[in-house]
Amino acid sequence: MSARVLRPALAFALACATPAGCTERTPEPTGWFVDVTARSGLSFRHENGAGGEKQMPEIFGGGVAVLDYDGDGDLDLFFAQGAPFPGCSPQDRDFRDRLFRNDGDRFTDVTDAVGASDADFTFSAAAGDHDGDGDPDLLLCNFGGVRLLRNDVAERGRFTDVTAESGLRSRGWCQCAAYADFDRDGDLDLYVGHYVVYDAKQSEWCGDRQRGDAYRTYCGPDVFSGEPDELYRNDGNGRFTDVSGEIGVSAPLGKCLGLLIIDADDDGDTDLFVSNDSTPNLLWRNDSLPGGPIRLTEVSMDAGCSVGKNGVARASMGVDAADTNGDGDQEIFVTTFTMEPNTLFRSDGDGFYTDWSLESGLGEPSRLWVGFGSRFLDIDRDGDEDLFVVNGHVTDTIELTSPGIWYRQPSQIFLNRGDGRFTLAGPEAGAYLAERHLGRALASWDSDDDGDLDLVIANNGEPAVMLENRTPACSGWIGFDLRGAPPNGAAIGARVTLRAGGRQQVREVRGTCSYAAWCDLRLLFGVGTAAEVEWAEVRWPRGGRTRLEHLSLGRYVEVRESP
Amino acid sequence: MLVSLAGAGCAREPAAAPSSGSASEVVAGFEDEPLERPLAGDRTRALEPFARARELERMGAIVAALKQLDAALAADPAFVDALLLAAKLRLADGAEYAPMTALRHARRVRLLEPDLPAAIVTEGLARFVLDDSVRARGLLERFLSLPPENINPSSRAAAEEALGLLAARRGDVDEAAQRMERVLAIRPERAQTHYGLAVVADARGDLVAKERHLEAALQRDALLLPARHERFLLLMRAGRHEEAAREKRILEVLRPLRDDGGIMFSDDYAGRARLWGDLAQLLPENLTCREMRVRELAMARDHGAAADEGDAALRAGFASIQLVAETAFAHARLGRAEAARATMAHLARCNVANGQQLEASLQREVERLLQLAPERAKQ
Repeated sequence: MSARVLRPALAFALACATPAGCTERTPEPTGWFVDVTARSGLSFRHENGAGGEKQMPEIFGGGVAVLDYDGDGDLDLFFAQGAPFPGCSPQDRDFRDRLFRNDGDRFTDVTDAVGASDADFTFSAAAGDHDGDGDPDLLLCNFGGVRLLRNDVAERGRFTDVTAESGLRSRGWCQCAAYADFDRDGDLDLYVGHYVVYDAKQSEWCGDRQRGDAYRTYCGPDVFSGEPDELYRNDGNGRFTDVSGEIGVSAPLGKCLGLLIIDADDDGDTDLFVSNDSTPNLLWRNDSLPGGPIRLTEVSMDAGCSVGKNGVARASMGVDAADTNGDGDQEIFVTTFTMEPNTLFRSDGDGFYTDWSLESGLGEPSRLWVGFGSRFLDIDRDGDEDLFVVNGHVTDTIELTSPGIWYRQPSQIFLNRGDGRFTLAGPEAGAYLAERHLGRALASWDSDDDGDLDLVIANNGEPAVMLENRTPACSGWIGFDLRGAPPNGAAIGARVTLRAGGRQQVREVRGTCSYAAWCDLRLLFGVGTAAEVEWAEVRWPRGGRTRLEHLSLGRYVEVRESP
Repeated sequence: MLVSLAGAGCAREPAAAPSSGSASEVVAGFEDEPLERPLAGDRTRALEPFARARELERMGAIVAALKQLDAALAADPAFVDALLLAAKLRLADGAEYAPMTALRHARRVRLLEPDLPAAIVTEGLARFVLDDSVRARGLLERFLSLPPENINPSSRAAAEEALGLLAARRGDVDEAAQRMERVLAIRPERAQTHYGLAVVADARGDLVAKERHLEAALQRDALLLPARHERFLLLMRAGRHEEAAREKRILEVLRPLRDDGGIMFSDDYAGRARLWGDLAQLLPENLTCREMRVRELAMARDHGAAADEGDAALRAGFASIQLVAETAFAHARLGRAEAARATMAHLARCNVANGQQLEASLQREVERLLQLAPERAKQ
């Protein structure tokens, strides 16, 4: 391994960067997370294309991806954009997906210059390196099918639409996608999550018809059938083969809104959790042998993570995982609809999960909210993972029909008490968390390489927001920048386990994140008051391991997989 | 950036840092919307729909009862008994935002009569259902501290059970167990309470007791989905795969019938009737499966099948007001006067309070349907 200095991406004032300590921070604005959108030059506004017919796709954007598209060492931002539905007036609105280049202290819109856009209604983007050439490509998950934009920026200065020759044939409502090397042959396979079978030309009238058009709203998922998900095997050279039928992923007919790449059974290969809206979640256990055909087995019901403790399927949306109680296993967290608790499936370590939502303190404060994006992050760097959740309702008449429930809703921060129980943070979290928005995608990234995670939020029909993490946490940290052997250079599916200050922690590189998001792939650990990392072990997706000892803190460590 | 924070002179525990001890105790983000004290209306006009609602409630026709209560409250928004009954029915309703409506009704009562025990417990239970646990706990504890003569046993049981579940959630298993035992002293046959004891046993890590309590719950209500679900998981973890497989088959049929995201609230009555039939095969001793199958067939307007299924269930020894009524109504809708009246004779097997009054009410409905039958046949 070799230590590598990553240059600061944005010249924000950094917590604890001065010898005088935390108290010398700029006094205004205050809070753990500060909205720095305006001064960053980020000028994306999501357009949901609403034309009055209450088309269901309108409520599920936007999406965001964090990626280094130009290979200059800093992270750029891609935003998924909607498209106009009939009745929508597109004048004065920008319906392009947008790519913003990180220029160190500002973002510059380079969408047209590099061709990183399409005209379809895009829900999310996955920035995996599908052809293994070392740069991230863009897979756009659209209403109507996927589109694959190959990153040819280094060669031609542009992205190239290679959907047709890639073998991807997704149609319908492609909500999200995840990359993982399921067959452990080194390249990234692709799971495409679909929502419902929806025909925009035949929109249904939902709501209270007797009370008139003012009470018309978006239909719920129960009105429509689930659309089959898809699995594509990567054949190398940028081509995929649809293996959905033979693997069986098209059979369960869930209504997918979120995907999680996770080694759920700790057997060294990549499993997949599918977060479904009002239908049971799925857990695809990977039974593939290295280099053999992909074999996935659906085990969610047997494992205890398909439905809630009451036996009922919840409206699952955003999803993330972390070892919240320090036992070495990763819990799965899922955001849900109003009147349902956000759900924490506690891993019991033997392949089984327990719905621990209410006991964990995460369920109760979510009853009135509709949760979407969610990310675990160690806000105070004390060695346990806290949680950020963005909320926003989907029923635009909700305040008329259900007083007490808001349409636009605040985000929430939950602080881990260290034992897997959480406390909802208050006003000290920052002004943004008191604001109400239609929160959707949430991506985490260390924009300024200062060892804490910043956030980008793509709200529905609103401007995107960039939150800088200014939490006055002065505990130590260490980051890992994993460089897998090609073609999986981003080491998606790798796991880092470390021990510091008597506490063991685990993180995984995930080939999608949160809701409709692609996050910073580097792994960041807070280590509390520990003076060093005693040891760290990287478990690579193909099974190899790298062990490191006595690592100093306050830096990103680049670790390369032996070919 | 290589910034070694450990050596940068930072305070380890700054006052504003989000450590577990310094975070604000914001409990649920649960804000009540403002409500005004209801104004008294025309009580006389409200009484008739209220009486009808009570009758419908006794017949299990909750949706129809709620409509009558809406009418009663439109006539007199300050009608406390109607508000309380509406709150109670909304809590049992299962519709998405029904608990919010229940809470609103209970809060309105408390604006009129702040110390009314029934209002305190109803608001407490609504807040419990909505996971507003701090305020729920306060209200329910206050209710239980009232003089015993002011507390009816059923409400006491409900309050104890809710407080027991809240205690289990907090990890206070001794309090939880004590409260559940108190409920069983009042209502020993309540399946939910046996399930609550299973939750407590689980929190204690006592899986043997957990299984025993789950089985006790399912003996009393074989369709109690949370208990079925927990029993399945328990059997899976214990490696008892054969028993788990049987439980899984039941769950796969029961879940769509209990799950508001599935077939539950759709118009697919025939689909639901089919599922209830499947469930009756898996749980041959269960009365509810038979009742619901007959009801759903009737809703699907397959009155012939409803009557046949109802007759078969009655011949097999099942009997309940709902089964008798639905079967008799099905015969009546087909114009089979003799069969309808003969079916009503099975009411004698149902042990009900106010039986004569109820029987008269059902008889009237049978006769009304018989009168309509020729017209229905023409249609």
